[in-house]
Amino acid sequence: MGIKGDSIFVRDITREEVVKVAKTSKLDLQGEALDEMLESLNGIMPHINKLNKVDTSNVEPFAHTYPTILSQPQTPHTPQSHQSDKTVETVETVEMQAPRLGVDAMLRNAPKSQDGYYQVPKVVDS
Amino acid sequence: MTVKTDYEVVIGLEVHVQLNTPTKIFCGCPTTFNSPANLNTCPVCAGFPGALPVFNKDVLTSAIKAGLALNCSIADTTIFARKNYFYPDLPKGYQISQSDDPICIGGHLDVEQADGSYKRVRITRIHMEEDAGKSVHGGSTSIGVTDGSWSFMDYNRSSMPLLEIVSEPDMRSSEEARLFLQQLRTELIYTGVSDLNMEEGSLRCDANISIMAKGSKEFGTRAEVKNLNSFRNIQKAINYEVERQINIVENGGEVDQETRLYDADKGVTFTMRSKEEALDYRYFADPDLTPITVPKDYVDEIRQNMPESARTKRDRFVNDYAINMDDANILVSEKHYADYFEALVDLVDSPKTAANWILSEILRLFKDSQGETVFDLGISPQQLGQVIELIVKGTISNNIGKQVLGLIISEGGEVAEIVEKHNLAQVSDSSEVESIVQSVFDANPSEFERFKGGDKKLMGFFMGEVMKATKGRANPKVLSGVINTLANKK
Amino acid sequence: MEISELTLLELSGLLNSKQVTSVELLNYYLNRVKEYDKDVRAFLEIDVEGATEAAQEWDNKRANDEPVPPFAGIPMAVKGNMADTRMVTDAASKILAGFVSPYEATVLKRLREAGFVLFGKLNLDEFAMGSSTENSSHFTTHNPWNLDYSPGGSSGGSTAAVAARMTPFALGSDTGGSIRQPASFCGVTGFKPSYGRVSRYGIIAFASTLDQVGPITTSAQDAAIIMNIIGQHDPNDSTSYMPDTQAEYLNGLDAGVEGLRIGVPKEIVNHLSPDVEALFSVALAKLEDLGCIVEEVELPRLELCIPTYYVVAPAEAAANLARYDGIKYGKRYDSESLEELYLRTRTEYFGVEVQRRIMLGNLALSSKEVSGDYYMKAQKVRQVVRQDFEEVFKSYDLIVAPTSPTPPFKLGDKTEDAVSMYYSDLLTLPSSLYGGAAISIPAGFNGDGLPVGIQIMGAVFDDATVLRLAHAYQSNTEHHTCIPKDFS
Repeated sequence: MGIKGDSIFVRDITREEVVKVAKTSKLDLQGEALDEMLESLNGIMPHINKLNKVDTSNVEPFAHTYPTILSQPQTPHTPQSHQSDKTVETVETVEMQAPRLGVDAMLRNAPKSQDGYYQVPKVVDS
Repeated sequence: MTVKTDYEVVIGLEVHVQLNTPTKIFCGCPTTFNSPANLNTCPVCAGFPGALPVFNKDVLTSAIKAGLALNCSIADTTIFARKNYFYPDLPKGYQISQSDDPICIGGHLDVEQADGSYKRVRITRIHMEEDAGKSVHGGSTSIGVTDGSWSFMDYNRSSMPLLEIVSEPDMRSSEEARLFLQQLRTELIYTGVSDLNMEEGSLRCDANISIMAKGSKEFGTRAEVKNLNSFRNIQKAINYEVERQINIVENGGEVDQETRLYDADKGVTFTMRSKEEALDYRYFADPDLTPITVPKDYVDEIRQNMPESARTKRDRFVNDYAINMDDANILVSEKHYADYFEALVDLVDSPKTAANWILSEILRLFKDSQGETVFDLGISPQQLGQVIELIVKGTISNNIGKQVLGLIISEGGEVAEIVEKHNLAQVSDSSEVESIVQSVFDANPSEFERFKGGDKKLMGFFMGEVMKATKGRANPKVLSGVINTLANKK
Repeated sequence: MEISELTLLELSGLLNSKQVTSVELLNYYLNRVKEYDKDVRAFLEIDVEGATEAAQEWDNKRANDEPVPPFAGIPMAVKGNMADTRMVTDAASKILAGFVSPYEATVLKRLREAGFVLFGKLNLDEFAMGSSTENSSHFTTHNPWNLDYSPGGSSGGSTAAVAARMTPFALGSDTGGSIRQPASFCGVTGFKPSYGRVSRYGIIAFASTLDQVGPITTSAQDAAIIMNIIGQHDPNDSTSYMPDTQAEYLNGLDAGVEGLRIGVPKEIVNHLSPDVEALFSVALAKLEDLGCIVEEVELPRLELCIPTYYVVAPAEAAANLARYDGIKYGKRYDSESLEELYLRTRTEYFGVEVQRRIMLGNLALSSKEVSGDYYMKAQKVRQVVRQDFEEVFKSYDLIVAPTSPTPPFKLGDKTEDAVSMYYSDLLTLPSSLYGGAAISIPAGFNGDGLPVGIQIMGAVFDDATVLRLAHAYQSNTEHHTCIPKDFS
């Protein structure tokens, strides 16, 4: 799976790290909120360290019980069909069940929109 | 090249290819271009609460075709991963892409250089992913919004299927990079998986560029340059970036690892994101999609049905049809050229003649047209074959043949009918030609006397006059004979 | 007999024999909501108009003797994280305030087509993150058995509504116990199907490899009936299981449990409160009476389910909740700059618990180079846990344990005791992690008159055996028929 090493290194989180992860998460944590977050995360981290109790170096990570298996590469396009059994069978053709809903329905919930577009404050960096 | 001899340039490319499947990669929305904003969206590709992706297997087939065309190994199991970052054109807050288990790994392309030699560029991997939506910025006229303080999101492009092809840093000049990309494009065109049109954005390219002292084994710090939107710009951007990096090093500085954008108008690259601002994408296997197991026979079936590659086709044209290498290269440079040629070559006696007509007339007409392929010109290979046949038989001249092509485009219809309707058949009957020549002689008595007196240069004048009178239909061979005979008679 | 005491089959009988109309049945439940929900506060929204219209349609069809599906006209209410197209689907979060989905969840479509009439949306902890409904952005739901107590969560609105018989049944969703724990707290039956049995399409995602929708009912038989409708393959959910034949949950329900081998993990004993332990042993004795073979089994790595869940669920949640950015739907905190818009929208409109889980998740997913890949490690430990359970299921048909180590807790009293907090999900996490079916059924009442549930866990896709034992137990006990006295 291309994963280097197996153990994880868990230690107390610093304030700076919380600030950094908050930025990644697009959350604005300051002052008391930041302190509380730091404390509560550090309350959980020691438990996560317990994962190291199991040697998993020869273990495949859990994935869904049923991989998608394909056959018949030249089948007509069937976006909503898939195979979730362990045997190779013909891909079933299923009609598309997630059709377009129209621009109005898609934009009905938008906080701000114009002429069929979702509207945001100007994006600066490109 | 402006690179000083004591530096070596190291270039790797990341190429994005938009696949031409009829529907998007994870939903049933159509992939048509130029639709009204957000028309081709649904809860899945617009990232609505509760919506889930379902993989479009046509994308897998396309990815395997591209992988086989580039000599890659196809993975037994391939996994989609979430690439997490915030951007308004990314409706889910993550892009479904691939990380540890891409569909194709370890291929190569042997790139033909200007001197005819080949240079191998290794392909690291090819992975499947969804495209982001499109931002339109306020003030732009395209949507008639003049208020410059807003950007506008259109998710029609969101979840369009892409392949990302990553090369090893095997290229050593901007020209090598351009040749790689051009030949990569040609090879992929033959798989039919994409239109590969740089202007329309179905072929996009980023370059990782670094420099190192010549002979060094350690690469320098690389900058990633994005937004290279034409073959010319790739070369220009790389040249600019190399110059920039050399200047930094020459002045005792260090190149920063950063992401830069190419500004085609100014011809410069500029910082988009510094290393410190580099995003942590937090890849992990997308829990909404199951791992895809690709059976061997699935790949084998695709392999057996792979169309002939551009290079094999080119070599076949050279060997079987005695087309010269340069012409053959042009004929295979677009699949529709080659298809046209192959359709035509069966209809005419001389493959070379067929090639010449395509390379001269058809390509000229095509470049002036709006069509996507040469077939869209409205001149079928059968029609061109008939025109060539008429020329070979002497029914019409070369020039009339070209005229007929124009008439096929403007009026349509059967070649024979056009020739007849417009009275384009050559006049080869000497008595008919004689009477026209005589009338030309009569109309130009002084020239006639000089011609008779031995001024043979006037042959051209008379032929021109007769052609004018016959609208080019007089058979030139018959004509020159008649002019000489009549002049000598008197 | 009161209508509120009837099973789905009995209700269907009344409707089909025209002893009651669908509109009358709907009004009966609407009246109960009117009367009781001011105290319980289970409902977020009621769609009288839409439900009446749908009920009327079934009545018209029945009146004209047109064919109708067997359960046509039975009212239902669902957890507020399931998308219908008429009511608000906000997952009890401010960030989705006012959001009306443009599309319908597959489960709701299936139930609607089977004739059920959706009339209400039920309270939950914000984005299903919590175990008391106290994280709801709207209000807290109360336990009908004692209004001072929590109904549990996150599907506490659903379980409280069923306990007070304000709806014949409800749907909940379960990520680490969110159907089973509140079912236990409210004395109702809550079924978490095997992962992949029920479509997640249209359910607001919390943790994608764990989320599963299930019925909250007054009996295992009703749960099986609902599963027959919703527990089928959905092409719109790639993780939806596609068995060779249509899944059947009612067949064999009455086959009895004689000789069924039941494992009881011995590791759980230390974590149980005395009243739960006592009621649990009575329940085990009952199972033996029914002919089951009950034995202790070892699951030494059971406790690792907790740290595994602490990594997997928040990591997936952090990514799943990235789409709430104030651009496409929901609430936006208007700002001059895009960055400010992102930050203010998400900080103002996500609750504290949700923010904590996003932070934990992103912490687990980032800095892989420095600290290793937490998510990958957790998914590997999860694989080991699955293998442990598979091993047990080679020798045992089912595993039985209490649903919650403790009886319901008082509202506002959410224990500060870190250790017991930590272990509170211990018994519901395993089947979420290995993906098997599990049901919580009422097993009696403690000294305070509060319900205690036991949990039956099955192997992956062995939902039928889980339902069979639950049904056998309920056929021989009456705990599940008890209705809180103020609501009977």
